[in-house]
Amino acid sequence: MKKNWINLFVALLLFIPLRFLQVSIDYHRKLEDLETGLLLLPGQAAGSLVLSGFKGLAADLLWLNVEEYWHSGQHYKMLPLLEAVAWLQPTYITVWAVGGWHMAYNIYVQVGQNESKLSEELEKMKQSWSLQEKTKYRVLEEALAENKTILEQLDKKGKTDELVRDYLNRLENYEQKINLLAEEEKENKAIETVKSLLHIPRNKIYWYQQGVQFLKKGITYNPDKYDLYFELGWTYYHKGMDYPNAVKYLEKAIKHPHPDYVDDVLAHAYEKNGQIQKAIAQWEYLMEKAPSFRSIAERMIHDLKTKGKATP
Amino acid sequence: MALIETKELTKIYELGWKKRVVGLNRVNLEIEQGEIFGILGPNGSGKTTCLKLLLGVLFPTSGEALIMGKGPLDVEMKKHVGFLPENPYYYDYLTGPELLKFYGRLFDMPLATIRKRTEELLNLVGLAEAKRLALRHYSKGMLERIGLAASLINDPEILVLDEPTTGLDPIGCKETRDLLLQLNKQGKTILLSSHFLSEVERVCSRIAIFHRGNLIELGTLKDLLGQYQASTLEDLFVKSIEKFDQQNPVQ
Amino acid sequence: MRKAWVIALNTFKESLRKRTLYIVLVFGLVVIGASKFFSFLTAQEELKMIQDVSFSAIEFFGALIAIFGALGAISSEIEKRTIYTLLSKPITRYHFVIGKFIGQILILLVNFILLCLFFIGLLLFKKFTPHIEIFKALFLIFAELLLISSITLALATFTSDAFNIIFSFFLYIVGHLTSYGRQLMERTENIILKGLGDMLYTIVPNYENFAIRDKVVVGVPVSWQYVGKTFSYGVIYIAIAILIAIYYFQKREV
Repeated sequence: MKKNWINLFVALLLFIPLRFLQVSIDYHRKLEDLETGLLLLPGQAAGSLVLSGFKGLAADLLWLNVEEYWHSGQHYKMLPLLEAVAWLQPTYITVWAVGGWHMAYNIYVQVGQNESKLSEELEKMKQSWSLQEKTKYRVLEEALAENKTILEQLDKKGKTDELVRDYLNRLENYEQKINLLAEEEKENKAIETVKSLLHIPRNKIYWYQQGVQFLKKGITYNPDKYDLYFELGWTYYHKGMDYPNAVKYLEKAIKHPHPDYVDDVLAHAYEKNGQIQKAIAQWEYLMEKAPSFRSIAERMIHDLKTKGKATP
Repeated sequence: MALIETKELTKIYELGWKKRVVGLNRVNLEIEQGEIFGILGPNGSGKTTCLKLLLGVLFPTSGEALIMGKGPLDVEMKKHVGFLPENPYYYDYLTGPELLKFYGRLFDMPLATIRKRTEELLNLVGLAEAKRLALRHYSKGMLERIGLAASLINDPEILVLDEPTTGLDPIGCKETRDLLLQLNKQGKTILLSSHFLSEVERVCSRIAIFHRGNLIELGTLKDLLGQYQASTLEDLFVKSIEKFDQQNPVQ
Repeated sequence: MRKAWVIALNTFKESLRKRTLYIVLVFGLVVIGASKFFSFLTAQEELKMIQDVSFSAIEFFGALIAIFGALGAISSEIEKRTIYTLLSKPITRYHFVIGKFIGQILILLVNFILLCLFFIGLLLFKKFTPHIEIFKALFLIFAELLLISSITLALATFTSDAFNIIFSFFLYIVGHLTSYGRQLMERTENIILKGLGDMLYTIVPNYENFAIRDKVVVGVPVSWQYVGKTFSYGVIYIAIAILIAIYYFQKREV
């Protein structure tokens, strides 16, 4: 018992090597990316104060709800959950990819669901118009036609920033005219219907851009993986027909370990972006890298060289 | 050198804000080999404190407690000591033999020896029938008896017993008494504390009377009875306490 | 050390026969089993779910067993007064402390293995071969549980049960947040605050060191070096806790 103080002394002394060890561990944690950076995630730190260690579990539980809403078609309800899951586990790439997809593809489609119904209603209304009314409401007809055009162009021409500005301008133009009309004719069902219809392309643009934004946010949390660069590149390519951006992000994707189809899509993107030489080079690279792509690549290269166009 | 000694043994409890309780006040005891020594006193007089100090469960504020000349933390010394605490309450999930085996192994006794002693001791205290019973099902008397068996597992030369007859019926008391006398005949030194005057009367060779943490009388029963002109131990007890209280009024 | 082992076995026997920790074990098994019922997710998501749930369950219920086990180890002896008899035997006080801790290790080991077997069994049932990273994560969780246990044991030698439970859980939560605290401290200019934060960071057990499951679950490998260093951290801290426990217990009067 006389030497009992030695126990306490040694115990306290051991804190010194412990400290050094901790420094080394911290270094490893940074190196191996085991740490969640406070700088990027102040919200997450706050959440951790509550959840302390069960983030993964909480994320999974929320994910279940996302699945539920998806299956029952309640797309809008998925969104806050997707945000929450992404916030809890920003390194869970699936969340970002699926979230972006839901926004840019599914919700994009869903906001246009009412289009045909609204159009039909309007047709019925039109039939009951007198000749006088038809003249007065001609601006509505024009707006309608323009709307239809824009909707088509969204799908067929794409959604580059330039094009989007153009669409929005045109929509705004007609919206203003219709608002003028609405001031004279209060509570006109036809006007309301047309206004709703004009919202559709706006919404589509909005959700496409939200999807892109969501993916970009995911990239900031996962900058060293190909996955989200690819998702974004693909979204730009396929949905946005925004080839410069598609190329930009696909080129970033190939900087990290990635599967072969990424190279394939990049080749197509180069072509669509007018960079034919690069497209050919990319196909040649892919041919070497992945023999399974050989026949496709050869055909592509042949078409590019002879016709200057290969991708349908 | 006496087998068990205390020298100016003092224990003061500090109960926080300047409140002190004297557990033991400068107690001097000398117990020789072969004695059956009894410590008497009302509850709270310091009997248990004294025993705990001897065994190293409590630490003295000043003074010394020695067994076989060694301090209470001496591991070798403890091999020769057996202890029965007040109100024994053992690991209720063990059976009697398991308890004895547990303690036996702490004495570094070989398993064969433990088994043999267990057999003997269970018979001695009359618990051979209850071999398979878990201690949680034991009656108070049975616990007392298994406690006694446990204190004997190492065949100690010194037995320290704190209130060994609490909760025993008269037959149990007699059996314990007889056992103690028998063990003493075998040469064991026994130190016991009790407030059952009749038991102490019949068993102890010398007694000490404790009161309010002080050792107020020490000697053979015959001498003390003469000194106080008391006819029974009870008489002696009451008189000695009165005398002390007169001389040392409570503050 | 044989005597410490005798005490350890007795402690282990107690936990088997007293069944108080069974409930926690059963809860843990139930939770892990429940993760099986997410088969409507895609295979990849389901596997992630099972792993997340199981790791969390093993760590959390393991922590409960660690804390309550260590708590009961010393306090039950004192309450039941069996400690008097024990201390009258030829053992030293450090035999007692070390024996109790080894007993806790045994208890944790058995419960932990049961939970892990169930978890691994579930993975195999889902036709997923657990890779070495999963075992690394489990290994570190076990080391963490031992650390939690040793700290609670140390606290039990000089604090009351009530304080111990609250403080142990408090440390459990804080110990997971230390890296955030440290990052916050890095940003402050105030030297006093920095020094204080530094000291706290050293003293508080960094349970978060042992948490590599977030990475493992998304399939990212962790180096053996890291595992080794974190394990060493655990060993040193356990030594600190046990030494403190011995120090206080040697002074303790019962």
